[in-house]
Parts: sequence; C-alpha cells; structure tokens
Amino acid sequence: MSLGFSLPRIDARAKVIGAADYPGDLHMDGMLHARILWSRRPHARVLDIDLSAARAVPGVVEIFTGADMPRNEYGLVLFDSPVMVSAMRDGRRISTSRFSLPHDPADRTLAFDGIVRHVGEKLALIVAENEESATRARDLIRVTWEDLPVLDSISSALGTDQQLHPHYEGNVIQRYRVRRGDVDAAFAAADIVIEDDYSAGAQEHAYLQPEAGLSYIDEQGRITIQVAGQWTHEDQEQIAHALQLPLEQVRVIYPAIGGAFGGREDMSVQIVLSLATWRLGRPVKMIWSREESILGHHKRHPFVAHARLGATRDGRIVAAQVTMHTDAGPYNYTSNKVLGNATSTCTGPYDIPNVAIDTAAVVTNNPPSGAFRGFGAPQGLFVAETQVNKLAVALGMDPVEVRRINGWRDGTITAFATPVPAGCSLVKTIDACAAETLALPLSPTSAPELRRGRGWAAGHKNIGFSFGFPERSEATIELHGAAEIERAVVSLAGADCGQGAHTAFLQMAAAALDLPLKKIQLQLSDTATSGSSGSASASRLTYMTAGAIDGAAREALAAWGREERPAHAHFVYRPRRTTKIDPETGAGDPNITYAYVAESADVEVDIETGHVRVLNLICADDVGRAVNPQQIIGQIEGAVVQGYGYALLENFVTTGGVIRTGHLSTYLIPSVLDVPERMHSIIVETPDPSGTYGIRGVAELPLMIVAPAIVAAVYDATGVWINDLPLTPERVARALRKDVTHS
Amino acid sequence: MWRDYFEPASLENALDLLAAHAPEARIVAGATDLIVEFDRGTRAPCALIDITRLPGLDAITLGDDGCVHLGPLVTHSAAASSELCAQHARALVQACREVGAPQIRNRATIAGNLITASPANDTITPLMALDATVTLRSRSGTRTLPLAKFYTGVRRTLLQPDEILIDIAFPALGAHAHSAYLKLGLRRAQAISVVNCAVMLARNDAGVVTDARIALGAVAPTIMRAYDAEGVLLGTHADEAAITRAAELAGAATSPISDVRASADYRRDMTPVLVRRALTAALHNEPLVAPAPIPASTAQHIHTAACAVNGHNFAVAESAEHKTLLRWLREDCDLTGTKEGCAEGECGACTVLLDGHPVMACLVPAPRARGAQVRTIESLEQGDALHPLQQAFVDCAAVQCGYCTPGLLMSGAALFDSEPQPSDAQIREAISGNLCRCTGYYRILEAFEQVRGARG
Repeated sequence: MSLGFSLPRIDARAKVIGAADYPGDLHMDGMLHARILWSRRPHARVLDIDLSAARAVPGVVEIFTGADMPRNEYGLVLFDSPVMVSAMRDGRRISTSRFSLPHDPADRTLAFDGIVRHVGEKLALIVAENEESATRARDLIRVTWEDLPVLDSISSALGTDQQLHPHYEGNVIQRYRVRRGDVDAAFAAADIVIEDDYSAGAQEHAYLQPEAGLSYIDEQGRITIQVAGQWTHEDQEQIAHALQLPLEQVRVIYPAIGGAFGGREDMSVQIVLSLATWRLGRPVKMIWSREESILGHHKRHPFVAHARLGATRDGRIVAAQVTMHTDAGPYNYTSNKVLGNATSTCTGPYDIPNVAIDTAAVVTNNPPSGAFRGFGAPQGLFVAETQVNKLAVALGMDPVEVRRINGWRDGTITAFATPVPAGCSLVKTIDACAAETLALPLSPTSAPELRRGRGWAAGHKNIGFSFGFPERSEATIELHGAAEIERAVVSLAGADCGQGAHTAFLQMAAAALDLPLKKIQLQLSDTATSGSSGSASASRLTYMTAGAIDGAAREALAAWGREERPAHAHFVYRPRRTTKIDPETGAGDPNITYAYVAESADVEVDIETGHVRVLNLICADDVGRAVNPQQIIGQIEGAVVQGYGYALLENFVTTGGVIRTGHLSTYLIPSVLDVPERMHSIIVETPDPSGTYGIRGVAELPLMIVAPAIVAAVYDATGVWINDLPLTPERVARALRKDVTHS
Repeated sequence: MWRDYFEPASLENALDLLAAHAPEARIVAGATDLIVEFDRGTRAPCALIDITRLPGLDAITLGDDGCVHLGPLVTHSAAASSELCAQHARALVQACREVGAPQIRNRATIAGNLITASPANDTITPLMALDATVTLRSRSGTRTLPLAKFYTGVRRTLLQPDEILIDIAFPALGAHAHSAYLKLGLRRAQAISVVNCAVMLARNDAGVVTDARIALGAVAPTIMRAYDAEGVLLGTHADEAAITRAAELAGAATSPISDVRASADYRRDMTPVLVRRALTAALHNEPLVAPAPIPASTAQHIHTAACAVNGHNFAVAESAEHKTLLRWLREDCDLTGTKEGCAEGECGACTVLLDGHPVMACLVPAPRARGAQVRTIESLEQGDALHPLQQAFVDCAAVQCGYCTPGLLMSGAALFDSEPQPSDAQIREAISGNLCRCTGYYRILEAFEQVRGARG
C-alpha cells in the first residue's frame, strides 16, 4: 500500500539543484517584457491616461489599458473588479490604442470602471523589447486624477452615505445572520457571562516567489500562460471571460510554484499577459518586484468583533453571541466566502443551544482582502477560543475540561441547526494534545522580568468549498500494457504550491490502481491535458483528488478488465452537496465535513519590553488519513509558524489606504531565530466517513488557533488579556503597564 | 541604478576620481545600503567608486597609540569574529552580530554603516560609547573627528563629497573597563533597531566608576550620548540605585519619533530598560557566545574582466555594468537557480558565494564579480552526487515550495566548508538571513543536523 508512508517529494531533487523552473525562470526567444502602472492612490477618478511620452521610448511595443479589454472585469465569485481601470469621461472609456474597443453603452463594466478604489489597481500594461524600456515608459505615463474621499476603516465605511462600489449598497458585500434558540433568555439565566471586543489587522502571504508569468501562443494556436496559481481551470475561465474568447483557446500551465497560501487564488499577471500575447502574437514575460507583489495581491481580512458567551457554573455553555465585521477592501475577491467561514467558526466547535451571529463584509479603500490559509477561521476562532479561555478562568476550571464538556460530538446540533457531519473527533484531538502537553510541565524561570505561561485552543476547519458550492474534481487515467499494466498515465490539474500535493497524488494513484509507484506517470497542472481539480485551497485538494483518482482508477481498471488497450477513464468526483444557509436564521447544511485541531503554547513574556517568546508549541491535527506523514508534518510546522507570525509579529500597516509595510524589511515574517523553540506535531487519524480513504485535510488547521493559544498563554503568564492581534512588543508592554500583576 | 562604476587602483586614484566626480560620486564597498536606495529611487543615480579591491584597508590592529584601528574595508563579519575586538570592544562585536543578515555582514563595512548615518544604525552606538574617532582624507588633507561630533542630523554627517573615511579608532578597553550593546527589535534576526544602547563602564580596583559612557540609538535624529546619565555613575559603585538613576536620566534625554516600527512613547519607555540592562551586562562582563565561523576568503586582488562562475569564466560585459550580480547571473549567465525574492537583502533567496563568502547577490554590483570566484546552487552537485546537505534536504523534507532552498543551501554549504561540526546556535545564525515561508524551519534544521551527524 502506497498510502501512509513518507515518500520523499517527487520534485525535491530538481529544487535542491536549482533546476526547478518557476515562472520567472522561463525564457523564450523573442519574448517581450511587461510592466504594470499601478494606481498607488486609494481612491480617485481617472480622467485621462496620457501615453504619448511613454510610447516614444525606444523599445516600447505597445501599451494596453482597460479600454483594450474586451470585457473589463474579473472576480472569482462575482465579476466586480476592472482588470485595468480605464480613464473615463462622461461615462465613456477613453481609447488609448489601436486595440481599444468601440463604446458599448450596454457594457455593464462601465458601472464600476473609471475609478481606482485601492492602491494596487492596474492602470496600464507596458510591453517593450526589454524591461528597462518598459520601466522608463511606465514612469513617463501621465495620469490625470480627481482624488475622492478615502474610507479607510470599517467604521468610516459603515458611517457614511458615500457608496464606494455601485454593486454594494451601504458598503456591505455580504451579511450572514444566524439565530438558534433564545440568546436573550439564555444570557439572563446564565451564571457567568464573558463579554469583550476583538480585532486583528491584515496579514500578507509573503510567499517567497513574487508573481511572474510568461505568455505565448502554443503549437496549437492557443493563448498559453505559464504562471503560479492555485487553480489552473479558474485562471483559464477568468482569462477567457475577460478576453471574450472560447475556453479552449486559452491554456494555463503551472510550472513550479513558490508558495501560495491563498494569495494566488485571485488573478495577478494572468489576464493582462494573455491580452498582450493575444494582441501582439509574441511571448511576453513579466516579473513583479516584492513591492509590487505586496501591492498587487489581497491580504487576510482585518476584522472587529464583539462577543458574549454565557455559561452555567458547572461549565456548560448556554449562549453565544458574536457580531463581526471584516474589512473586504473595495472588491469582493472571496470576501463573501471568507465571511461564511468566519461565521461558521466564530462560536467555536461547541454545543451551544442559543446562538446569535451577525457578520458583514464591509467595502473600504484599503487593499483588497481575500483568501489566506484558514479563510476566515483564524479570525473566527480567535474570538471563539479566547472567549472560551476567559470562561475557563472565570469558572476556575481547566480550559481543557471546559472544551471536553462542551465540544462537538457526533450528533451535536450546530448553530446552523443541523448535525455535525459524522466522524467528529474534536475531543479525541484535544485529548491527544493534552496528553502530550501535560507530560511536559511548564518550567519556571528565575529572571525577575520574565513570566511564563501556558495556553490552549481548539478548532475545526471545513473541508472544501461550502454554502452550496458545486464541488467537483476530475481525474483521467490511461492504462497501457498488454497482459499486465506496464504504465498508468494519470492526468490531474491540482496545483502543488509547495505543500507536496503532487507527491500525494502519486501515492494515491498507486494505491488506487494497486501498482508500484514507478509505473505511475503523472501529467500535471495543464488545462490542455487535465480536467479541473478545483482549487488548491480550503484544505480540499487531497480530499477531492482522492475521490477523483479513486473513481477514475475503478473505471480504468474495469475498462482494463474489458480488454480495452489502452484502458481509458475520466471521472468526475462530486462530494455530498451542501446548502446555502437561511438568510434569517442561518439554518442549513453548509459544510461537507470538518477536520479538527488542538494546540497548546508555552510562552515567556518579558514584562518590561513586551517581547513574547514561544518556548513550546504542541499541535494535534486529525487529518483522517495521513497519505504522506512527512509532508503532513511539514504542513503542520509551516502553518504553525505562519500562525505564530499572525499572532506576534506580522503587522501590516496602512494609513489612509496606503501601505506602509510594503517590503520585507518593514513587513516582518518569522526568521529561524523567531520560531517556537520546540515544536511537536501529533497526527491523529480518525477516518472521515465521507472522505475517500478516510482523508480529511490539514493545510489550514494548525494556523487557525495559534493566536488564541498564545494569547491565553500570555494571560497565564501575566494576568492580562490582549484582544487585538498581533501582539507586538509595544502592544503587550502597553497592556501590561495598564494592568500589571506581579504574580 | 548607478551611473559609472570605477575600480581605482590606489587610494590616491580613488581620491582623484572622487574629486573629479564630486559631488555626484560615492565611495562604495559593500553597497548594501546604496543599491537599495538606487532601487527605491531614494538616491539619484551617481558614479560608484568601488574601493574593495584596494589592499591593506581591511585591517583590525592595535596601534602604538593604545587604540584599536579599523580600516575602512573592515566588514561587520570581520569585526564580529575579531579577537582584538572581543577583548577590547565587546559592545562593537555584539552590535556587529546584530546587523542585517550574515550575508549582509560579509559585505557591509562598518565605515559604510557610520556614513549611512541612520539614527537606528547598529555600529554607531557602540563606537560612540567607545569614544571612537573617524579620520577623513581628501586630496587637500586629512582630518580626525570624534564620532560624537560627526553627525549633524538624520542621515547627515560632516563628511565632504571629496572625502574618504580611512580610519576608525577607539581606545582599547583595559582590564577594568567593559562595554555592552543591547538592541530591541521586532524580530530576533535582521531587525532594524526600535531602540539600541551601548555602554562602557571603567572601574578602579575599589570598584568605583572612573569613566562611564552611554550611547543610544533610534531615539533621536542622530545616535546620541546620554551625558547626564553618564555623570551620575561617576564615583559610584554602579549600585542598583545609581544604575536606576542613570537609566531614568538617559530616558529623559531622548527625543524619539513614532514610525511604522514603534511609537515615540514606547521608545522613550524602553530606553531606561535597555540602559539598565546594558549597564548590568557590562558590570557582569557577560561572555560572548562563539559566532558562526566565516569561511576563508578566496579573494584575489587581481583585475580581469572575467568572473569565474562555478569554475567557468564569464565576462561581465559593459552592458551588464549596471546590473546586480543576481540579475547578471540569471540573465547573462543563464543560471536561474539563484532566485530573487525581495531585491533588498532581506530574504536570502539570492545567496551565492562570492570569493567563498555567502552574500546577497541582489546587493552586489555585477562588475564587482570581475576577477572573483562565484559559486551558485548549480555548482553544489558533484557529477550526479548531491552535496550532503542537498541530500539531507531531500531526506528530511526540508523542501516545500523550494524557492528559498538554493539560498539556504548556499549558506549551509559555506558553513560546513568552514566548520564540519557547527553548534546548533551556529547553524541557526548561519541561516538567520534566509527566510522560508513554508516549512517553519524545523525540517531545515534537521537536515543540517543530519549532515553534522554524518560528519561527526
């Protein structure tokens, strides 16, 4: 059986010798080079884009603007963003090139075009024979602006009549409302009520490879782009939609991808490079600088929340109420989906008979927010878990015991008024973490300025897209040979962003076909050779691909049994359907299934400077079935360190919508000297009854609850709760000065 | 980027070039600050006069005058591992080890740090506490100034456009004098100071303080001395009360600003904390931990147009004179294994070995590679056999997305070249300038341990 063992990843050798090509490493003879002109203004009307001086720069081949885009819109969920913002006067786009399209009053994109709504909007794509010419030309483009008032916070966007986007009345993209039981009565009857406000800032993905791509016409005349993304077929659809081309005329290929974490789920270079190649017929390459990368892609949603939690003296949670607003930036990206997940996590994985949740994604002129590992759950669970930790303190009860009492079990009815999907293993996961943690008591410190403490958190993550999204994943298998199978060609589109997906695919295919690994040949990440695997996100890729591979393998083996040579099968896997939730009550069945996580953190706080050091972090994850334990450990450790960054270090600062931490020298991510001194991962394997081979998912789990565990440990060390992330030394020091307890 | 790039054959030649091109020419050594400034457009393109090939300017010596002298080409790495500095200027050693990343410290000079004159620079503070002087030379003469008088404002000094800093000197501390440097940053490696502090305490046989100096960074437009605080320590036994009083006075003397790293209030509040801790550290004369070893340089001071990259000669063409070493390797040598992640010396993805030393290729002018030996990731494999560290990265799952991997491997290969049995701390220090966003570093550390174990 090829499942459950640590096959070294199949791309490791190429990566350690420097031979793995990332998009920026690709080269084609005769290729052109492109640069973007960015808005760098948070809110302004674009009255004119004067290209005359820029066009005169030797080497410039063409300059494209939004006026050249057949359908100037994109969006993964809702078409609400211009690809490039055009200059508009009197409701008409101003033509800028021979490719500009005639005015069409019925064009719905006219409604939101002509205005830049954040600093990272694209205004023009400059294509030249070399990068220097493109850069010089970019700097010579003269834009005439009319600045507009900037709404740079949730409160300013909600407290105004000014509507930032024509689609979003009241500056709200999406609201969710969940009502279960009678919270007012329950709070009135509760022995203890915990009530507090919470917030967190944005988080930047900071994958090491900045965005890049190379577009060209392939041998079959298709507009082809090699780029780093998370979902080849969605990129293909977005490109085809904006260029108004048939899908089959666009091809997307992923070479090596230098990290993603949700940050490559939306479009970066895909559409604009495809436009240039389509119009010019030549290969075009573009690489973004780090500063452009931080400017050009979305962030994790900042949020503010108010929460109440009521319980009886014996530790039973009886009521939870949460109001949460997320800062979406000016366009949806995946904000409505992220909000759904924040809604489904903000009262935690607990059996609570009375629940009231009100959430909203709010439009502002801040950089857009979107997918980032955890997808709303880090925000939701920070609130839920900190509330539960405060409850344990108020009850004088062990925080692990409070979770055991209230944690979901099979049959528990959730806030959505439907049962938890079968196979709930929350308490088992908590116990696994607790056993390991309690075996290692917190060691004391003698230094007078240092305090040590321990904190706990638990959580749940839905697997796959939810709220009624029609999930599917495709696989194609071809079996070659005569008497016996000599070679199996397995075609899959799923993206390996670094998580090791392709290695897992190989193992799963070998298992499904009962063949040795060496007989499996993978054909990967190319829309021309594979059906859609769906996105490498939402902790879904292994779960969904397992279903697709398993189905295709059965059918291919059946065909093989019928003597077909080669035996061919194409299979579309569809997991059980989910539903939207009721807009008034939240009733519904929005999630396919969950994976569960529990963590403990031991910290040391310097009470004078506010610096927090994590001594020990233990993370137990129920992944259902570990296809490749070594890669899962890699996911746990990497996600915990990203969660560490979110909790303590990563402070994305904007002022008036303008980014002030636009480089890696100002936006700090953890170095090797920062990470928890001891990290221990525990893989729990409770097969998920809905998942193929029992697989759940893992990629997001460990990140989600690092912050609440650390916040609780800081409380345990100092007696002070800090409700706002990240816990910068200054924020911690200020909180301690306000309320010092010399324990 | 820069305009002309000159490589003078002598100091006199450099002074002539500087005079000829003043005020729009810069002496350059490590170039680690300048290239970032050019790239960001905060410095207008100017001529660069690279003096790194001039012999004799990188010495650390104890002079007949009782002073330690640092030549203008002394790098932070060199000072950090200097016995002389460890003995006579511990605060300087501590500060040098906190500057940027190891790859930056291998290129960046202390002289350059003094001239950049950022109020948060790490080495100015200890040198001010050590009462250093700087000697400046131009064609019209030589002058020596106390460092404490050298700064006139934020990033402004008394250095004239035609002058070269040729010597940094400070009195060697005797057996009864100790110094210490402490820094508060937002990260444990590669952090810009939120506040930094260096102190020097001299005591007589009776333990009475006979001399005290306190310098503070990032709390005023320039690095500053806290003279009042120094004064209250004199004649005391540096007891707790005296230290507390000195710390308070030091805090009161600051005039910090708020920026993206911290507020003025936090800086003001942290100053006394740091001063108290630094004075206590100096009193106890806490020993230094051994730094990661620096590989022996293979530099040859020869002028040839070619650069030996992985043993093959590549000409640095005139058309590549304005490129960084990183761009030249990727675009002109077709060696794309070396990655660009930030172009500002923060991420380490572009780490290559320049004459044996790990450097950030994004911050090296390509023409500096003429006559030098460069090793990139493509050279680690010997035939079909992976370097032991490459194999360990595969075995231990130290690779995820792989974009940081070439840089980490080059930092690691250099470490094992000079120290087959590095300590845990040395391993961590050696890769503290290589950011990884996928692994959390634990499997990477395991890979290093595997190689160390196999060689033990």
